[in-house]
Amino acid sequence: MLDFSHGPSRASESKVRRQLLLNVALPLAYVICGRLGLLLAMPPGFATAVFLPAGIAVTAAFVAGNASLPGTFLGSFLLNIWISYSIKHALDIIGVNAALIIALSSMIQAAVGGTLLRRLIGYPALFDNLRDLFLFLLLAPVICLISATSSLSGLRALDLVPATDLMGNWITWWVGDTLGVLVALPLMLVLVGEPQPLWRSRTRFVAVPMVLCFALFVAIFMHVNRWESEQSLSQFRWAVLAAGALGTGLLGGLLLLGTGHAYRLEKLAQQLRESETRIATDLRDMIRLQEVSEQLMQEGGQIEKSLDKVIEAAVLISGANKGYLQFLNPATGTLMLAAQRGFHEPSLKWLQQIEETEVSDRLAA
Amino acid sequence: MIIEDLRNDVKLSGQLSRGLLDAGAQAIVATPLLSSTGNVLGTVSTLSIRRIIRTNENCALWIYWPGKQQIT
Repeated sequence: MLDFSHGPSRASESKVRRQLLLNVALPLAYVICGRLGLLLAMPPGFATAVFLPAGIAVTAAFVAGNASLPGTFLGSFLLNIWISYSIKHALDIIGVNAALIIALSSMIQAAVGGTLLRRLIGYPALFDNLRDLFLFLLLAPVICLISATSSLSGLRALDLVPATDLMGNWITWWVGDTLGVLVALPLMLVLVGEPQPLWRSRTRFVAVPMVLCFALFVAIFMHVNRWESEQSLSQFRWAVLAAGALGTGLLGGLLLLGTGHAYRLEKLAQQLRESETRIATDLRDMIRLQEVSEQLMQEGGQIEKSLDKVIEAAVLISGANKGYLQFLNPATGTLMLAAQRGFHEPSLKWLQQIEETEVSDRLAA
Repeated sequence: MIIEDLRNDVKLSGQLSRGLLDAGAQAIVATPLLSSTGNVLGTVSTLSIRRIIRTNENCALWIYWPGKQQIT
């Protein structure tokens, strides 16, 4: 017996889980990834070569829509408060204002990014074709213009970024967010994307190679970082990390394409196998029916002898467990048992006694 | 006639429904037997111990009865 009594509680559990993901896990992931990423930031500490939280926020908006925006705002605000405190070792109104401006910019960027991706690529997204991939690669830098422009405008207004450093910081911020989206979106979708079977199957063939590739470039970056910090080396370090993130993003794109094709082929193969099974079953059933028909034709006027074969074929073809055949008695209008399969005492005795006029009336109608 | 779940069905009479449930059936597919002239000769009923789901396949099961015999 199917039991639906757990339905509402499961729905409620799923709702709680979703709320926890959006309002606790998302801000937490934002802060942790952001703090780690900002260890690689350029002064005054807000612009980094690869900013994964930008990708996390856009992916959250792509997957969950506007419901993710408060979590993004909270994550970004907490992260930037933390950074501001780390720089000045004190929290002032300017630091809070800066955090609010960046959080608002990040939230707007995530909202626009998620909406654009949903409209142009659609969700659930398979990312198994060149169109989706090109759109993603094209949209990522466009989406990331928002946060770099609005955040740095705000920071400049608060006099936190000198005019001379503005362009350099803007480029770094924009590249950082873009690369963050390119790297984080595929990885995030592997974790939370739909359809689940496809995205979970990409853990081994997309997420692991991407993480290894990115880790390799971070390791190179860290190694170069030990060298003397000349200006040329600083740019070189930034270029290494940016190239690594870009390479990781492109690698991820290619792997998505490959695994998407493999998934589609596997689905087609599965459909083919199901069709083969169905055709084989149909063929077996048709042969059985033909055998019964042949026997009926051979019996001529004595079809009662073949009734057992008829009911046996009916039970097997329909995948049932038991069955019975009744003939209509025109004189009484009742159905009388003529053959059965699978009934045993005491059900058989009951079956032999029933006269179901209601059924015959319905059939006649 | 397809009854996916005999416990929640009102098409059959109570006695027949109870009898089928006692026999261990949960679902029934009753197919009319028709003569070539369209007269009802009887029914073939198959019973399943599990609830069934109505599909094109189980709705399309028809048995064509040869000849013009009248069964009495």
